[in-house]
Amino acid sequence: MSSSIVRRLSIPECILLVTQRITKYPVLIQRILQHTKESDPDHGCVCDALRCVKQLITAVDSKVNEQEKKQRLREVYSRTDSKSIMRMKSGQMFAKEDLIRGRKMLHDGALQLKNSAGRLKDVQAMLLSDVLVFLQEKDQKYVFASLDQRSTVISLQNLIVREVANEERGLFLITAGTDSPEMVQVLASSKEERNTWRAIIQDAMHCMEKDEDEGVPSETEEDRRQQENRAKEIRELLRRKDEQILSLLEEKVHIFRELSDWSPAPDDPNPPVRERMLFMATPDDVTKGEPIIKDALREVENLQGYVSSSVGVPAGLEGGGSVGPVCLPRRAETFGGFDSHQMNSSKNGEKEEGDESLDLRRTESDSVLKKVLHSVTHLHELLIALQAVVLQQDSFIEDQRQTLSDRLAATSRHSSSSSLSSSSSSRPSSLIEQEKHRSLERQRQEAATLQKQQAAHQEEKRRREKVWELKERSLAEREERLRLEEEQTKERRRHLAEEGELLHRKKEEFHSSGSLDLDSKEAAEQPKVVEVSSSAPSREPFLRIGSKRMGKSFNPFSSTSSSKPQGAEKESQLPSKLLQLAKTKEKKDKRKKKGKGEQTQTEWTGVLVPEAPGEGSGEDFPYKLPSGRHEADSDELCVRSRVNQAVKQDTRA
Amino acid sequence: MPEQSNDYRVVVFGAGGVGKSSLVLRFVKGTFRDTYIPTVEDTYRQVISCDKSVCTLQITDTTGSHQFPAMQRLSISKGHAFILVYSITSKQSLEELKPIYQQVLAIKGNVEAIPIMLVGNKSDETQREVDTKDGEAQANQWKCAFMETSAKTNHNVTELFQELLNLDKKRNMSLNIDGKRSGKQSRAERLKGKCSVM
Repeated sequence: MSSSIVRRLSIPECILLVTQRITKYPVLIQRILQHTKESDPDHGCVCDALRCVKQLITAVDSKVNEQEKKQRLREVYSRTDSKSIMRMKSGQMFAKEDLIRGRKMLHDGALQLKNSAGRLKDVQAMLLSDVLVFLQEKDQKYVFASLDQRSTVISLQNLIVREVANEERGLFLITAGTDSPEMVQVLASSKEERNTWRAIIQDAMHCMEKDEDEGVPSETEEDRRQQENRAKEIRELLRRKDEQILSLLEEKVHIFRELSDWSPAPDDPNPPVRERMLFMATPDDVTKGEPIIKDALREVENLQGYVSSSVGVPAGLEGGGSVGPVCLPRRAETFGGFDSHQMNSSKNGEKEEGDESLDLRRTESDSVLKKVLHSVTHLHELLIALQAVVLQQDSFIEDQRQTLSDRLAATSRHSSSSSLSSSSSSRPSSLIEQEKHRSLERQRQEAATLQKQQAAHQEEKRRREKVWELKERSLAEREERLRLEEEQTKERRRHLAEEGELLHRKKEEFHSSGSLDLDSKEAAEQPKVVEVSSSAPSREPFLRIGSKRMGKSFNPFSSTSSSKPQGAEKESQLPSKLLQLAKTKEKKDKRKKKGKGEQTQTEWTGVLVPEAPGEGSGEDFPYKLPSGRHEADSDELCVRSRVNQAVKQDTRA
Repeated sequence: MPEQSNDYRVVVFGAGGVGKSSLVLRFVKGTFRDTYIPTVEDTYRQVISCDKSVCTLQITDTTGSHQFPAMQRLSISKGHAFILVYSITSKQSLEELKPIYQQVLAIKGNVEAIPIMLVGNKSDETQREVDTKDGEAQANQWKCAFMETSAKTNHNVTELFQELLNLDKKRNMSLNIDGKRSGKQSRAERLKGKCSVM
């Protein structure tokens, strides 16, 4: 009573619960799937579960749908006036009972019919398996809707569904009748509704066509099976008749023999053989005719022989015998082609022959008449056997022909089912064909435009690719250039660093030794300069600045200027060219930086520190070093070139 | 069936994650969860008064049924009243209600006699995508009632259900069971007991 599952739910509630619950499973499993790693072995299982449960629910859903439609159809049926009846285009009458007779409802809903006066009529539309029915409500009952003189029960068989060009809710239902097409315009409540109806009607039509192609064959298959059964029965009957004829003939033969055997020496071994021969002439071994004919021929030859030996023979019998060979060979030819049982049958023949010769030998002593009589009896037997065989053959041939024609018909039906279905199902080919053509044309056009678009896309893509390529190339070039530049700059920087290093070293040297620093190019002069500068340690800070800031070209000056007063005796040691260089330099700088020489030092030194503020003494200069370094570097370069110039001048001098 | 009259079925529709369950849970249990748990629970029940007697308000959550139209139609055909929930933070969720409304319309025929409530849930959220007037406009078009709610802050939740019951003119229903609550409860119990005996 208070079970956790039913929770005091009543039965209808429980049922509802079940129908509700089932739709929740996909959601749940989807959720589980989201939290299952793809590498997890469970992943596949969960996927399977999801697929299965969806399949299951879809199946349930379709069943529910079916049931719902069935109920709806029942409801409509029960509400339909039983007196209401509608003549279909085909002339067939459609009454209330026809609503449910072997039909399923596929869709239903409210639509509006437009009559010839343009008035709209509300109707209940129902799409059944093969017809579209419009009902109108009248006194709480449904009756078939009246629409001018047109039928409101429309077969899907010859239906063409078309949108109305200027009415987006409208739909034309064109019944492409055999004599005059009929058109009904219906209006749905909305465009979507209209499209739904159209899609569903077309689906139903397709289904029906498929049924015609497959289902109807399944019907005809049943039909054919029935026909086959019937044919089999008839064949059976025929065969039985053949057998009856055979037995009758045999009886006849017996009687005949008895008749002929009133005379002595009835041959016992023969009849069974012949009987057997006749019995065995079943449709299976149809070629039995040949040995019989052979025998008959031989018999006739014998007869001829006897006749030629001038023995009287009854004319009638001889005539019967002569008729045989005349008409039989034709048969023999026809059957000659297919004898596979000849061995068996020829054995029979041989035996007979043996018997015959035996007979002959035995009857040699008797009268020729007896021989003739015997021969005629034999001939008669043979002919009758032949007749039986021919009969059997006939039925067999008939049989074969029928199966052949059946098969032919079947194949032709198959081959024509697609192309001729319109005509075979008595569809007016023109309209349907036109419709098909039109849709085909439309599809072709669509395909063409699609192709065009595709081509355009391809083109666009190619173009884009080209552009990208170009861009990429230019980018690569730029990169290359950048790289080169970078290298160059690196190189330059390295150069600068080297030079800076060199300078630094020189400065260090100078610093440590307290003497002037010289460029490596002036290495020859260096020792002397160093000597000179070493004699002036007091000027060291200032000189260091000088070396740093203005380049070494000034160093000799400063050194000379500072060392001059101290060591004149060393002057002679200084190379004259150095002095000269110093002088030229001095002049140049003087020109450049006039009015700055208010320092306590000599005018040259004042020139050496152009950026220094006025109060700048020797001690101030070290502060300026870092900021001025760069300038110094570049200055150094030009100074060096000047020095070189000067050196050249000097040597010329 | 006789006991069917004791059931008043409310079917809740809405896209995933708009807060259908939250609304129902808030109404039935007075709780709220911040985390999203896809719904497994199928129905919730609440005892209400209906035409001076007690009946069960049965709330059906339809999660997942949209993929199966026939079964969805079944729920609609069994439902007495409908709550169409969207989230004010998602225009899409409102769009997704349209086919459902059409379906209700198709199955129930005349919607004016059917209590339908369009509900903009998550009204506490600040990132609004659907304005209140948009929801009202939609409701006008559908000739149904409209309300914005928040299951989180319990805004308009009870009102929603009461309003929905008021919309049904054929019955006189109320969430508040008149008379003494305890007596009511016992009556409800008795009634339910009777049902289950059957």
